[in-house]
Amino acid sequence: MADCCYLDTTVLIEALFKTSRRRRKARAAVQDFAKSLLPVYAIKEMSAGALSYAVWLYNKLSETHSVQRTHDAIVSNIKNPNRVTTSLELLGAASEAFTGADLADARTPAQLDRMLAEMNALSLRRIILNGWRSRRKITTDVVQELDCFPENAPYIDEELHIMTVGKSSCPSNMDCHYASELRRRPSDLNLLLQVLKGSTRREDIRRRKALNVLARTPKRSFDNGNCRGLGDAYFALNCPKNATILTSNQRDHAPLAEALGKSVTPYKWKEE
Amino acid sequence: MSENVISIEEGRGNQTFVGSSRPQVIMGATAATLPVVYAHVSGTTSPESSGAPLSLQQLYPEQTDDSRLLKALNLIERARVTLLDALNSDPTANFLQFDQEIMRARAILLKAFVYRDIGEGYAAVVNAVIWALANRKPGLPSRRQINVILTSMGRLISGPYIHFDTSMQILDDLEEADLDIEPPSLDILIEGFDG
Repeated sequence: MADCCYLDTTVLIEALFKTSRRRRKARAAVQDFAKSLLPVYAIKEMSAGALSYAVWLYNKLSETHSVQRTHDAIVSNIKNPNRVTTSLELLGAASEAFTGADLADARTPAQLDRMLAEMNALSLRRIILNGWRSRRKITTDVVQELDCFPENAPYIDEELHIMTVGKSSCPSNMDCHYASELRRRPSDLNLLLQVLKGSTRREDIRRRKALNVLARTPKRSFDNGNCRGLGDAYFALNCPKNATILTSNQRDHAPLAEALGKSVTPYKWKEE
Repeated sequence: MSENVISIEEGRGNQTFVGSSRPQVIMGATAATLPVVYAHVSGTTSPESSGAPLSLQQLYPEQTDDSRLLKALNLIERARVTLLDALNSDPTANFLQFDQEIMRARAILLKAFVYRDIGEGYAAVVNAVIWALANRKPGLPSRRQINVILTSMGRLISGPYIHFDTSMQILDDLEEADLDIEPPSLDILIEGFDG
């Protein structure tokens, strides 16, 4: 096993924005390596993805005052339908464990739901704020700073009682900080394009488009949309040769990394 | 030397007892076993300058007539005493008694959560302790964990109007003691952003 890992966004999210058991497990996995590297690109992806979701979830719990209605909103807007039944059952069980208690002023299911929603919101608020504060403390090193990425913290708007994610996208119409360096590596870009050739998955189409901008139209500016589109390819391109990409998404990362002679170490939070 | 200062040479033996006009000198081993009752000495320094803890009335002169705060603090104190009882019982010898105290403490804290409008810091700490107790593994919490919980509750009793950011340090201490302070339902809600 390599003694240096290069964190991808999925593991960073596990280490910051999941519940305590999962956070601890992910942090322990990172600490198994003598050296660990976190590219700022992972913070950027995390801000636009998991952090935004967690903030939305916090606001939804605060708005609906109901775990049940928040769950309904997740199901109808976000989640994969085949997971819905399972999670509904789990949610029911988790709430049921609580109802045995004598809840002073929460004697109806609606009151209980409200109380649980507030409890979840309080816990989630701490996860979000702590997660953000710890983002640069998970690894031994933070590498590949992105000058164009405004690393803005989430905050509570005291007037509206709404949590807000600071602006996380780079200024539009600007060439990305790392683009010029990648344009000097046409053979690596072409190798990745070969891997993605023919794929009809939405993220692969976006990735191919971003790689094409770098490889075929070097005079065109590589903007924030392209930067986001690059996704997993960024990690394959920028992981140092002596490191391994630590990810919970081995399926997507492995072909890209292997095409450039780099390795992937899978991370699983749940034992199979 | 002031009458309410303990002499280095004489120890507690020169303390003034309630109802006595002059210091009692207690000699020998008896001095160490007798309970110490501190006298009120007029004209001495105020509690603030003497380092004595401030009362809630002194800390929050405009808010301590709030009966909700007093009820909440009463519940926190009851839960604290119940946990002290748990601490004094041996779970390996009498698990039922030990666990009974833990269940009682949690039930009291659920009532204390009703007064969460006292402040976000108060609500966050009470919430965390409720779940720490609810998520306990068999035979736990340990003595060390109970002591950390007691410390957190002591912090609430001495200053219930804590800011949410301040409460985060208390919650970190609970988590560092290996207590699981989050509701299980949050795991399910957070799954929404599993990749």
